[in-house]
Amino acid sequence: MLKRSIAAIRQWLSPDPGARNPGASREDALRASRRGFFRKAALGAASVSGAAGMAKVVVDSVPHPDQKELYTKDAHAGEQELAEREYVLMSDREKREMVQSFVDNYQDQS
Amino acid sequence: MSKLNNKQNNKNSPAEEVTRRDFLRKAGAYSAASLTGAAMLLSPKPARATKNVTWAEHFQKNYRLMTDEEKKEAIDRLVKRYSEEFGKTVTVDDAPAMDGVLFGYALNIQKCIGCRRCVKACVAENNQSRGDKQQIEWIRVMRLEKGKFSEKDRDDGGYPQDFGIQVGGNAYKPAGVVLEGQHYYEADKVPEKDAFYLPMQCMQCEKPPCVKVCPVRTTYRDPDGIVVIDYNWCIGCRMCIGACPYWARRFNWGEPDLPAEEMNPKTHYLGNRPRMKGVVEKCTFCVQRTRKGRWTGCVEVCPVGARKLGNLLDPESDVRKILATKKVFRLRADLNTYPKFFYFMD
Repeated sequence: MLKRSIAAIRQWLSPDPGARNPGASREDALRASRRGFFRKAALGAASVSGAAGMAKVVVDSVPHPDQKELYTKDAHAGEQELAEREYVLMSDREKREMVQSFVDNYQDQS
Repeated sequence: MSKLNNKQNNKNSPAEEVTRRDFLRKAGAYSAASLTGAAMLLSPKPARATKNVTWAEHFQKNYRLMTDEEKKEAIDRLVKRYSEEFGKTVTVDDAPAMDGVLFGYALNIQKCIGCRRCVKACVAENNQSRGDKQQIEWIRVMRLEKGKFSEKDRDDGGYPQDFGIQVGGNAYKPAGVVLEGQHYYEADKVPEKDAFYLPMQCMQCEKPPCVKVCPVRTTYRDPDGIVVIDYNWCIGCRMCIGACPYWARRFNWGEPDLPAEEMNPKTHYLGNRPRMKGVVEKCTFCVQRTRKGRWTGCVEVCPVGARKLGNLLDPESDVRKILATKKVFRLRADLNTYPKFFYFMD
């Protein structure tokens, strides 16, 4: 059954050149050209998807950086920067003005 | 000779050329078919969180642009997906900001003992990725050497020594403190004798730089002051992570590792619902709790009561009273982000 399937595919892919009849009707010629188009389209689609699959496999196989390192880097980001800063106590006036700005901003947005 | 001539003749005949073309055509077709098959066999299985994502969810709008009906559909899709994925009844809330509320947070650095229970409670409450390789913690606790916060010590050190920007105080009575610490200390017992602890998380800025830089407007400041993220709309560009001066945001480099049995099923669309690979997340003041009048997980779990959450618009709230009566400082105030997370001392 496998041999028959392969033979059928072979026949479909490459029809016997001897069967080409110069005297064939226009309809036959049209049918043959449509068949040829669909054959090319199917082969093209299969080739593209196969190539895409192979490309995905190749890209996925490229070694990625250690995930733990990426997460740890995010978590430790800015440690040096934050450690070197001087943080200053707010004065009473600063606190009052800040709270008022929050209240005003809220009222503006609403 | 005749045989050779025959061979040559046959070589040049159209039938032979067609045969070579046929061979190439067949070879190409078979190769393409086998490559396709190999690609299908070798492609990895879709990750859990994205396996059941429908086209509708993939192409939904930015949350702020959705109509009420679209929001409801989006929420229903998520409820269905999360319930299937985690094998439990998951709720996804979409409670909006409460009227007349602007959340503020205050943390007493003298009381904090560095136990990191707030960190663990946050991870549990907000469905963060966990495990050795993909641990995400929205809160980080910095360990500082004791003695640095005393104004007296600062005075004794002499002034000025280094040039820099100082806000508040004056040249002869500096009012600042220098934080020299380390993250992720591993002490057998806390508090350590020679240490202070400074927890940090999203400051929920009034003028958040992360919101300014987001190219797709997925992160924004809600009316109650919480800066939220629409995870489905996030494109993972990490611009917000670079913009945040507090390094409060975290990125999901891989598919989050969230065991089903540890998942908190009470979620909010803009808060603690399970995230996916390639999106940013951060502290949201537990919107799933605070918008229902509850404390955040970190406030509730703190064993020494160092954390206070309140309404900045209410003069009788804890945070407003702290601002009025205590010594308060903010991180990186010089950047004018107006953080609503304050540190205070008695």
